[in-house]
Amino acid sequence: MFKFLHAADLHLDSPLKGLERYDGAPVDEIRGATRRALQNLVAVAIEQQVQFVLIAGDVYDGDWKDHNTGLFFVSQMSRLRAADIPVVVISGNHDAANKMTKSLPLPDNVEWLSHTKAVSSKSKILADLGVAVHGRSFAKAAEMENLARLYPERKKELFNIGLLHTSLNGAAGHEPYAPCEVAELQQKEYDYWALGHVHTRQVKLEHPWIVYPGNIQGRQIRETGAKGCYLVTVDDHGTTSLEFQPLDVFRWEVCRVDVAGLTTGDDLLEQVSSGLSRLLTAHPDLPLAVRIQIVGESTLHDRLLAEPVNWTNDLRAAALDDSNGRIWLEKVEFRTTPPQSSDRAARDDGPIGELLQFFHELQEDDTALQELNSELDDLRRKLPEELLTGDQGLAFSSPEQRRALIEEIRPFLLNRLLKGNDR
Amino acid sequence: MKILDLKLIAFGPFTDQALSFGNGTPGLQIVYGPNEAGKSSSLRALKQWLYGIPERSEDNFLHSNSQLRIGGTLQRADGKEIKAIRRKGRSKTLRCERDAEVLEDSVLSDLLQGVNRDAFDRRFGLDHHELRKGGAAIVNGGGDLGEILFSAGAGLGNFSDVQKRLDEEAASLFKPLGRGGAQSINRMFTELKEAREQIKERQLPPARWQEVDSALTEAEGRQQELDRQLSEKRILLSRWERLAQALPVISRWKLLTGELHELADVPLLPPEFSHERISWTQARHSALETHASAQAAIQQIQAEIDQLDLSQELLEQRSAITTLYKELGSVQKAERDRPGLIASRDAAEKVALRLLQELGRPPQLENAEELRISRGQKQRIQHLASDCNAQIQKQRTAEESLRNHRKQLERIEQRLQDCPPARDISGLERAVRRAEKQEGLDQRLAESVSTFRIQEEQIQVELARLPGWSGSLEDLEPLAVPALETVERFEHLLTSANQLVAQSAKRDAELTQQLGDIERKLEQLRLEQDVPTEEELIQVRRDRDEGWRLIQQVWREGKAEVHPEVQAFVSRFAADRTLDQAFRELVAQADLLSDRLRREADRVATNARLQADRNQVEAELRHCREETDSAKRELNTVQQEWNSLWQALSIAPESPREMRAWLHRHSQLMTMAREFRQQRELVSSNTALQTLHVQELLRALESAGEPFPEQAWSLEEARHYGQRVADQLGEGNRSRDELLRQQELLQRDLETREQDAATASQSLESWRDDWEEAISLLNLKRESGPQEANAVLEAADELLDLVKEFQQVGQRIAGIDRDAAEFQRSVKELLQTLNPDLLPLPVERAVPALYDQLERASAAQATLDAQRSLLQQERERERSAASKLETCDKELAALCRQAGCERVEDLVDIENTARRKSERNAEVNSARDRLLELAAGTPLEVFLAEAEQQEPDRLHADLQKLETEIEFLQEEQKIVSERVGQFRAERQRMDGSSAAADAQERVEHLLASLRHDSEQFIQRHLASVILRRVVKRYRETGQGPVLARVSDLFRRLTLGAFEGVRADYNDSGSAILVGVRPNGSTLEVVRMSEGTGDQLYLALRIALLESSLNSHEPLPLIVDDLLVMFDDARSVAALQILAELSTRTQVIFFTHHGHLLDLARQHLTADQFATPRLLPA
Repeated sequence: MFKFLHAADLHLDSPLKGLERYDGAPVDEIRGATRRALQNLVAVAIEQQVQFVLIAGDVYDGDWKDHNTGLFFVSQMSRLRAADIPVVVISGNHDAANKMTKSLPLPDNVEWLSHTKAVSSKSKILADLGVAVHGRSFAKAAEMENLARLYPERKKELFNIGLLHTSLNGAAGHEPYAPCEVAELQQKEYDYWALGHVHTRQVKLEHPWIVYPGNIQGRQIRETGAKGCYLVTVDDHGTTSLEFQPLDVFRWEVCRVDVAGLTTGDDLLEQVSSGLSRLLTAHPDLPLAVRIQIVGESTLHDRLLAEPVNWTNDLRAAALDDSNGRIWLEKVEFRTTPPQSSDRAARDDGPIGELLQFFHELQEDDTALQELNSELDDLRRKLPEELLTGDQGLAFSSPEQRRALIEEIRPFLLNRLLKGNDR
Repeated sequence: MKILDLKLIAFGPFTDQALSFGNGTPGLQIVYGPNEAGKSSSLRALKQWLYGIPERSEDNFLHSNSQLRIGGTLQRADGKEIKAIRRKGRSKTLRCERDAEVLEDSVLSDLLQGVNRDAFDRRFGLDHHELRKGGAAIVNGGGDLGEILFSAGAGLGNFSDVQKRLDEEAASLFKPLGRGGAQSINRMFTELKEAREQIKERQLPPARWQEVDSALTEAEGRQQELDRQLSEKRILLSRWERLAQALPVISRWKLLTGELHELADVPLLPPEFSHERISWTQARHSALETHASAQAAIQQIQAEIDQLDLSQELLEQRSAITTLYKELGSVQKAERDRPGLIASRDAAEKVALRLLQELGRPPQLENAEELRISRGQKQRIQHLASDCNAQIQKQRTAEESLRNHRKQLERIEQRLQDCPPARDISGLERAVRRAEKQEGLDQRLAESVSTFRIQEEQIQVELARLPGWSGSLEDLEPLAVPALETVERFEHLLTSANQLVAQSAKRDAELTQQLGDIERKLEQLRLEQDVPTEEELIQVRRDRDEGWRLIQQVWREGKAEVHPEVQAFVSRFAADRTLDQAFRELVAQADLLSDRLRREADRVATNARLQADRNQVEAELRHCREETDSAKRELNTVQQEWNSLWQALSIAPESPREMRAWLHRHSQLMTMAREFRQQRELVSSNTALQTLHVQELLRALESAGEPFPEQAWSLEEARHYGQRVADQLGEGNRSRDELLRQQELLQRDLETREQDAATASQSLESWRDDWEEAISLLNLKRESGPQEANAVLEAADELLDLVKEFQQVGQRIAGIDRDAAEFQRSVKELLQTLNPDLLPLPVERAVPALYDQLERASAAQATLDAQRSLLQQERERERSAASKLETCDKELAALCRQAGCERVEDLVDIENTARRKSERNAEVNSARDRLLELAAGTPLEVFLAEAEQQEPDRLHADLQKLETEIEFLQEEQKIVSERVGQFRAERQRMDGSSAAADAQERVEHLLASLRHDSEQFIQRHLASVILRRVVKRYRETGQGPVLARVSDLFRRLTLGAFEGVRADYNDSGSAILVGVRPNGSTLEVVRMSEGTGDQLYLALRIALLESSLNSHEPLPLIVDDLLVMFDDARSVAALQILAELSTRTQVIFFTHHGHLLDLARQHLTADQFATPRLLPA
């Protein structure tokens, strides 16, 4: 019987994205998260007394040029060396792009497989266990070749593992590198395919095992839930079982709150609190980054969009209270809709009617919208590229984005005008 | 839309109250309510009726939340009325008139044209608060025309603040040229740049790491090499240095070895030898001296002992001599005291004898004893003497007290005689108590009489108010009035009959109208063009066939064209034509008609349908009219039955509804009649009770013997009088009783006092007997007083003391004489044995002399003992010195033997030579040790052999060269070592630190914050831009006609202080509003007073409201105490403007200022305003 760890996509020192600092946010708890996750990996390997560790690519982040990151990796590998645990690694697209991968002297328990051809690991311990690990590193970042085809024949009488960084036949949000079909992997008749590249944990197939362990630490709101590696146990009959080992030190979650039927702010706060407390129970002890999505048809719609910052601050304060500072409210998304009935055309022929009419015309007239959008050019000239592009980009380059923006400004402006005029 | 009335069914302080707004007629509706009279509640109720009662209502203090109800009637522009009731709740709060069914919200919101609560408040609500804000905003704003129009049009007092705040907030976030001080986004740009630089600084490029790594390896190699070389050179240097040092030591060593050889025979003496020799020599010398001095001392002491002399007998009698010497003093003192003692004995005797005489006794001391009396007797006399005065005083006091008592008794008896006789008042008191229990009876009587009167009047009033009745109450009471149920049945019958009539009439009207419509449409069709009919076609075809027949006849039968039948035919169509022409025309007509029938089938059909409709409607109308007649007949019948119902009462009845009220009043009247009768009973019973008690009091007073004044008493007055009389009589009785009680007490006391006086006299007499007996011992008579007895007693005591003293002194004198004789005898006996020479001397001198001799003998004895002890010591010293001398000689002889000489005197030379030999030995050893040291482990022979071979001068030169080489190497080693340290430190710093990654995290945080703030900025900036554009557009579209109206209103509101307003342009070219003075000059709004600003805002507000009326159906304008800050003249102007406005849209004006109402009455015509009041519904 033997045990090994299958991990991938460490992305060491890549930062956590989209977290705005505010008083009370668990800033210290998230520092160096990817590093601490790797430390956890090493600790699990030692504690579980695994016979070897597999890393299926993307140890580093592609454009990160700090040799210290490599040195940290070396220091962790040295800990495994001290415990007499060999490590087999292949380069993923990020590693192939990173100079550090080539220049870093690794301890002798680490075997970084070739990028020129598919090879089988030379480790003596593996040979003694009756295990063959086949793998090939990416030679360049954008590896479009089907690498799986080049993998060697299965070695008879041995437990064959394929170590491969691939998107298979494509995965949402991931570049389609080293494409191949599941059937091709099956044909190799290996016992276990240790894959990397896709950050979501999934077992593609059980006969043979084709497994993505996901990355070891979530770094943005798209990477939710527990992150870690698989502890694989192979008994003397060759029966293989998997056990997920969480390694992350900080988690991302989306908390969806339906406000349909709610009428007061207190109702909303209460609803959010109960959502957050469910998350806190589900992830005891770890700090969490939570995005709150407020959805549903409600009379609160206008009030929320009128003062989104105040609401966000209120929710942050509530989250701080509820979680004792464990929750970092990443963002509050207001995706509510106004109640149908209030849509009826109301007589408003005065200035407010004129204002509403103006908004209505803007929605219909993209030229006018674009012209309005150009009012923001001064700001845009100074904003960094990261904030301008993408779905959430502040360039508002698509008509839909521009319309959504106007849709948010309308209740905000109306509230400003009418607030304080209440009698 | 108009509000016809508002029903406060259950709301705030109201229950079933209603406000009616003049049935929708024009005119300013001024709802006046002073403070606390519910003006605000009514205003609130009006809005909550339209828009719902809020979740947290402040109007549920009287009615519970579920009971809250506001109702009312609204009138649509087309005259249709809608009644609705609002209850409190979350949904389905609108209910029908009867509060039984839910009314759809849309019914009301349609009427309100979808204007929500906020918008209604803003646009159709106007109050002082908004006016002030709006006015201030105009004056304090820039006068921007667009802004002013926009804010007044929307009813937004705070508009310019909003624009300003948006701009300020945006500017606090970002400015295109901001340097990052005040603007958070600009600041973050800087921080972001810094953080990115920090990443670069902290990042360790892989190339740099490799560089440092290889440099370190090289430096460490060089360092090792240098270490090796230096080590070798240092070994050589050390060896050469040792050889160079050894060379002089070797020479010296050889020299000393030779010298030692010469001193081979000299003995080696221990180092302490000389010291021992000196100390023994000195010890011997001192022993000799001690011996000699001891011998001399012995001789001297012996001589001194021999000279001493001492008497042994004297020393043996030491104690006897000493005793006598001590006694001598006391013997001499007694001799001196003796004469004094004799004198005092004699004096005592003399006084005692005199006292004896005074006491009347013979003058011998022996008689004194007779005067001694026992202590008991003496105390008895003293006791009786002290009791004497007390006994006398006691007797006197008793007598005095008795006398006083008798006098007091006499006085009381005198007063009793003066007192009036006792009276019985118990009957009177009882009567008063009973009257007291009826307290308030007078008051009750008076009240019941008063109530009785009021009820009587009320009944008369109510009776008079009962419509149709002119008889008395007594007449009315027995009459049977119709039951309420009967009235209700008739009400129902009449209502349904009326409804039937009304429905029929309405149906009639509708049908008539339909008929009219149909006729009109038919007429229209006809007017448009004749509608061809089937009949017409048939007719034409028939004519055409006729023509054809005629033509056939002409053609076949040769009938002449002028045949009358033909003529008649032709002339029917075309007089001047021929038959064939007529025929052709008819053919054409028939074709045309059939074509048209086909082509205009629709119109034909419509025509046909309309005609059918007309027939049907006409039939319905006839039917309807029959029904109307029948309904009217039915109504008439019911009405007659109704009238006959009331004939028994001789009343011509009103409608059942009113008669229901009549019945209600009747029933109230009956209730009042019952109460009236009860009240009458009450009055009579109270009067009887009063009389009863007054009579009883009267009787009681008579029986108490007090006359009762004849007058009309109320019970209370009678009771007070009775009480006063009872109090007076009771007081007399009580003082008489008190005197009787005192008399009895005094008489009982008198006997006791008489007994006391007798006892005191007896006690005095018995004391006198005792006294006589006691003083007989002193030879005194019964008459003698205590003073005399005391004097005798004191004299006797003094005498007895003197006798006792006389005897004691005599005894002491005899003792002195006895002691003196005994002393003389003892002295003589002693002198006889020891020193008879002294016998002749008197004892006073002989005893001291003898004692002197004894002292001297004792001193000699002490000296002898001391000398003997000294002698013993000296002898011991002599013996010890001799022994020591012997020891010294023995030791010195031993030293000579050790040094190998005979005499002590030779020892000194031998000692000197031995010391020199020792020194040389030590030096040789030292040189040898040094050489061993320099050889550093090499065997000494080998080392010496090597040294032998060295040339001293050459060795020195080699040494210098080697040292220089080492110095060079050390210098290099230092440099290399520093480099190694430097590289190591550098590599140490490359420890996998996360500093760069931390900076990267900071960049991400900053990006997130930057995104957040940017979104804030975008929202505010775009909101501001949009607002400006909308304002501009609003100004451009709405300015012209509105400004003219504003001008007019402003002129009126300022009472002509301004001619009006107009648009102008400021220096930057923006449109602004200015006021125009009557003389044509202009005033910018910023220079206007606050009041003028308010008036301008009001003018704008009304003008813009009016302009909106042109395009929309009006909604009522709700004005809440608008004119608080206006003076009377301006208030009048405003009221007039509002009154004018009310002809176009309903204006409801809530106020709690009564003077506005007065102003309206003085300055508005009656049809220009109404003052609705809260009335019971």
